[in-house]
Order: sequence, then C-alpha cells, then structure tokens
Amino acid sequence: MTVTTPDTVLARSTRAHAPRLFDTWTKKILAIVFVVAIIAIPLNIGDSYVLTVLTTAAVAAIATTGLNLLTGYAGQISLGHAFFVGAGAFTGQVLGGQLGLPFLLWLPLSALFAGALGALVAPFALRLRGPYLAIVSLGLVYIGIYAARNLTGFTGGLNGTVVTAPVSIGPVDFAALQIGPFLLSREQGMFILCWTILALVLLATANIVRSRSGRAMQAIRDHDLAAEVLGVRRLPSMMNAFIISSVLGGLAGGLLGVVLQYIRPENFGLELSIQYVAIIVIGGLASIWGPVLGSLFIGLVPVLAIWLAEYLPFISKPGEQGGMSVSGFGLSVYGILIIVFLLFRRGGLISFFNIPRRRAAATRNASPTDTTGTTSSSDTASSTHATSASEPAPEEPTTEKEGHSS
Amino acid sequence: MRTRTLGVLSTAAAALLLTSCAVQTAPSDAESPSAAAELKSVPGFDISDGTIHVAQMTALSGPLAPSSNEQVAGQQAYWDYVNDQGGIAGEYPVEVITADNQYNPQLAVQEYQRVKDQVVMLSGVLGDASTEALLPILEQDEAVALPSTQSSRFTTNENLGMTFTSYESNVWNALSYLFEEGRITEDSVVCSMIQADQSGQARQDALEHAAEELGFTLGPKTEFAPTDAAFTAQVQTLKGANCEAVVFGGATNNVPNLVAAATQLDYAPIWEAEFFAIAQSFKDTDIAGYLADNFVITGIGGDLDDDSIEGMQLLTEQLGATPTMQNVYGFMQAITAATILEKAVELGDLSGPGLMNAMTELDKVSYMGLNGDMIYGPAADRMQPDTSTIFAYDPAAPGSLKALATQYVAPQGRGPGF
Repeated sequence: MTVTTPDTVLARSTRAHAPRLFDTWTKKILAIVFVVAIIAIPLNIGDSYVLTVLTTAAVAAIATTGLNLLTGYAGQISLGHAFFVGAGAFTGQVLGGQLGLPFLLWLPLSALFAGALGALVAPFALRLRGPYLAIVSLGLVYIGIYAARNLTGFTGGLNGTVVTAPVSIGPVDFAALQIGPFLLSREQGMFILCWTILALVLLATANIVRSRSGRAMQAIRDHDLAAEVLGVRRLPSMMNAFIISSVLGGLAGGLLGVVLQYIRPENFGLELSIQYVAIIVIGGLASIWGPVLGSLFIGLVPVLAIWLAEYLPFISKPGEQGGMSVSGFGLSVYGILIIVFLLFRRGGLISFFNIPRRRAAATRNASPTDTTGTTSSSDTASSTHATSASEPAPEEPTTEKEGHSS
Repeated sequence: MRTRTLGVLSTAAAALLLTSCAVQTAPSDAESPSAAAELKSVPGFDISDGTIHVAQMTALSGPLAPSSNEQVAGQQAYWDYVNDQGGIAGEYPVEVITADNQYNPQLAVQEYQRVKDQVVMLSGVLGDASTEALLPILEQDEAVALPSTQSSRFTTNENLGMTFTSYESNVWNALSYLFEEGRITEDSVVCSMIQADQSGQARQDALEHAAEELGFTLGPKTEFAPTDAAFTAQVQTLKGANCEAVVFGGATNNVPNLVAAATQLDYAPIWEAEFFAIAQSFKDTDIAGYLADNFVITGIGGDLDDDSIEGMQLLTEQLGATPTMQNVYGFMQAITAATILEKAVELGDLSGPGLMNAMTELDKVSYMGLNGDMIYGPAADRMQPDTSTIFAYDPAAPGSLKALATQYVAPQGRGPGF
C-alpha cells in the first residue's frame, strides 16, 4: 500500500510539472544564440561605452536575479538588496585586492560572505512580511553604509577604495584577454566574464525554481497557509530564498567592484536598491529572463536619451542655464516608462515574449481535436503562476497576490 | 542530437571569431614604436580637419547643475578666446564635448568610456570621487585628465593636471591672515568641523600646522558625512570647547543646516570656509546676515568686477557680463588645458602619453593674475599654487564675495607638502 504524505505529493508534483530546461528547439536555439552572443558581441563591438553599459547591465542582472528569487518567486519585498551587493563588493576588494587571493577564490568567498550575512539577518527579517519586511530590509542599507563609512581599513570610508582584485583564471586574464592572435580590451574581457557568469547564474536559478525548494517558495508566495497545510515549512523556505538572494547579491557586488575599479559606501545606498526593484518590475517578476531584460532596459535608456537629445529642442546646451539636461531627460523617460509599464503592461517586458506562446497555447486548447482538455507541461508553465516550472507568465505582479500575507 | 547542437555552436562561434572586427592584433616583436616627431592624428584630433577635442566632465544635472554649467561657460569663454586667435599654436581650434557624471563616480566611469575615443584629454572632472574612480582607467589608457578639485593628493599623479590652490594652502593662508589681522591670537582655540574624508583631513593637517606655527590652541575636531543634515551635536561640541574660530570643510548644501544649528545654540565663532560653501542665492535668505558677520571665505582671483586683473577683464569681455566665481574656475582650468596642449603640439604628440610628456616638459602654468602659478615638470616635483584670495561675505558684492586680501600668501611661507 502506498502512503500519501505532503512530501510525496510535492515530489510527485515536481516530477509532473518540471519539464526539461531546454525542452523545445526554440529554447535550445535561443540558448545557443545567447552563448555565442557572449563571445560575438565584444568581438564585434569595440565601443567601450556600449560594452561598459552592457557589462554593468549584466552585473545588475545577476543582482536582480537574486532579488527576483526573493521577491518574484518567494513573494518577499526587499529594499535591502544593495546591502548585500555592497558587502560582496568590499569583501571582494579585501580578499582579492588586499589579501591577493585569486579570482576563483575571492569571488565565491565574497558571495558566500554576503550569503552568511543573509543567513544572519534572515531569521529576524523573515518574521515580518510584506511592507514590514521592506522597511526592515531598508534598515540594512543604512546600517551597511554606516558600517562601510567607519570600517575605513577595509572600505576606505567616505573616500572609497580603488579595486585591484585580480580577474584572471590561471593564465586567462580577463583584463587583458587574448584569443589567438586577437588582443581584447579590458571592457571586452569584462563583458565576456560578466555575461558568462550571468549565463551560469540564470541556469542555476532556472534549476532552483524547478527544484522542490523553489516550488515550495512559490507555493508559499501564492498561499502560505495552504502551503503550510500541505507540509511546506514557511521559514526554512523563505530563508533559502533570502540566502540565495544574498549570495547572488554578493556575487554581483564582487563583479561590480572589478568592473568599476572604484567603489565607495555611497554606491550601495537606497537608490541602488530601488533601481533593482524597478528592474525586476520592468523586466517581469517571477521570470528567469525578466531581470536581464529589465537591466538592459535601465542600462540602455541613458544611451537612448543621449542619442535622442540631439534632435530635441528642449534639451539644454551645456554651459547654459534652463531647459532640461540630457540626464534629466533620461530620468524622465525612465520614470514615464515605469508608469506606463505598471499601468498597461504589468507583466513587464518579458510578457511581450510570452504573448505568442500564450496565443499558441490558447489555440491548442480551443482546437476541436483536443477533447481531453489537458495541456502539455510547457503550456502549463506559460499559463499558471504557482506551478510554472521554468518561466511562469507574469501577467500580474505576483506580489500583489499575497496581500493576505502582509 | 547533442553532437549536432555542439556542431552548430562551434561553427557559429568560429565564424564570429573569424569575422571579429573590434579587436586588435597582438603586436609582433618586430614592430617598434616610431618617434613622434610631427603631429599625427590621434583619438580626438584628426590632422585633416585640425580640430582638437577635449571633454569636460561635470554635473550637468542634479543639484550641482547650475554651478557646473557656470564652470562649463567659464571654460568655453577661454576656448572661444583661444579659437579667436586661431586655436592652439594658432592653428588648431579646440572644441569641447561635455559629459555628465551627475557627481556620481559610477556614472563618471561610464561617461569616460563614452567620450574617451572622441577627445585627447578630459579638461575637467568634477568631484574627488569621480577622479578617484577614473584614475585606474586613466592609468591603463595612459590618458590625461584635469580634476576640478583642490585635493593635493592628486598633485603628483602623472595622469592628472592640477590647477587650483590646495585645501591645505587655503586653510593655512586664511588662518595666517586672521592671525596677522589679530582676529585670532595665541590665546585662541581654533577647531574644525570637516567632512570625514581626505578633503577634511587635508584641512585638519593645515589646521594642525597653523597651530604649531602660530601658537594658538588646537581645539576638537568634529566630523560629518556629506549627506548629514543635523549639526547640533557638532556645534555643541565646538561651543563647549570655546572655539573662537572653526575651519569648516563642507559644501553649499551643508551651510543652511550649519547656520541653523549655530543660531539655535547662539554660537558665533569665525567660520573659515571655501568659496564653494557659499551660494549666490543665500543673499536673499535669513542666513545672509550670519554669513556676513561670521564667515571668512577662501577662493581665487579677486573681486569679480576687478578689471585690474587681466584674466578677470578677459573673462568679463568674453562672457559679456560680470563673471561668477565658478566661471573663473572653469576659465582657469581651460588655461591649464590650453597650456598643456600648446606644449604637446610643440612636442608633436597629442596622444595620452604625449600629453603626459608635455606636462613633464612644462615648467609652469600662469593664470593672467587670477591665481599663483601651478608648477609642472616631472610628476613628483609638481606643486599647486600657494596663493589664496580671502573674502568676506557681502550680499551686495558680485557673487556675494568681497575680497579682503587678494592673492594672499602666508608670510610664514608655504606649509609642508601644501
């Protein structure tokens, strides 16, 4: 006789709703294109400005992938993510720059240090929910800045510190990369490094959200009481999300340090935390690719503004008072688009990519030959939130659904 | 299936690698650097059109935008003058590209990447933090920038060209002036209220040097962060220590809160501040009276309507109006940039290393009477000007600044390392 327990139910549901990551040819081709692009883009774009913008977007995407796990998949709002990014950045410089540890040691250790801080904070922070957690996490940012200003030996205090941590793996130095006869600039090397790590992070995150632990997070997000009745323990699941989110924040911080080569406590303030929240909202909550799209969007708006500024009469000329500055124009565009997305496209940028898939699924469901009413696992993924395996379709911001938990 | 996927991936990657168009080929041992005897095209300068491009990086948006725009206008006034003479060496006109760092070092790095291939040098970089952020990249690129700062920690860096008197010299000159005028004596207690960073420490160093040289008593050092808005604790400490003069190292946004705290605590010492702590807009506010009674301000030039100063007269002509102090700063920085470019053209090399060499070969930069000379030469030997103009706050004067002593140098001489 088979005994049915909550564990066996979850285990069965995991098998039932966890399709392979690359279960269609489209996904496989897109994955190949993504990997090739990581090498091809820097080899074909020499503009260091564009490369720096894209590299910074990759770092932001790593950080926000972590935040998305906590906010999008686990339903916990955090405004303290900049704290973990800052912890990773300064730890990276201490370990790599001051102690001289190699890249393969200092970067993971920076991420783990941020994760340890997350583990320290999580049991207390996660006793609160919704806006209360948001405010508590906000406190972390202020504590972090205060600590960083005063730990001058590690952070340089208000002066900040130049980041000298190495970015080489054995003989391969990403600061002066050479592929065959080709010499790459630092910006090209850092692009390859950061986007490769982002690809690995996305792969790991996609696996985490398909795992039992990831599905538990989503179950609690969607209905914590029901999930707990089923035997999903809320605190450990939320702690998992918080710690993984912190680890990814620390990882991004370490990379941000070596990309910028100079960091100071003020880099990791509330503004950065809010920007990260904006990225996951604009990109699409509870979506693997949402943070990537959101980061690219946020990174490229200023580029667009600079390009458009030449054609707009109300942009002021430098040296003259009055009118709108190029940066002010960029910020305005950024703000307007956030409002537009929240009003008209609440699923974020990723929802544009989900439309064809939903239409296809709807067509199949409406097909007269389909008399069973069943759907394939990939269709299920695109039509539901709670049980989606690889990429749920975020029609609505999922955090709204857990108003009951706040 | 897996083999086929790998095959597709390998083919695509190989094709893209082969068509790579944005990479350099590794130099072979056979290549040798050619001696730059005559002017060649470099990023930011095309010999065929003869225009030299420079970039001024400043805060064109945000709270510092108004004063930054004045600096841009000041620089442009000098470049207009140079271009009216035919340009650098009478042949090469200069065009300024602006970059907006919003006073944010992270954006400074991005903006530098955007403009670096379009210009020969950065003729201005606003903010110590932005300069710090750019330094590693400037060193990698062997590029030159002129920080819009007074921090002496950048003076002997071979990638940076300084223009202004250091924080240390300004504090030392101001305290020496107050001592000579009898406003502080050997019996005075002089204290500091400074930002907890290197610029604050520079002022503290100067204060300690002055205490040693002039014999007054050194009082407590109070510190604050740039974003702090409440200064009651610091002011209470200063008042409790009976500080008769206080070296203040803060910016414009700190001043109203400082005056509010001092007024509440009925505390009125002599505050010694840099000119950038003073905004023109204060003249119509309640704090103007306190500033006039209690502030001594260091800066450059002289009275802004003083036509006897050659640089002030030229700047006024170029602008067609009485300049602001920020105009003067921009104007002076353009003089530094133009002098370095003149030398680089003379040496036949406008590349980054060429400009670094030009700064090494240069003896000094003079500023048409607006300030003392900036000593150039080998990086280790460079020295910032040692002159400071001492101002009182006067709402009726241009820029609300009235010169008490123009181009003042402490009679005891330059401080150590100042």
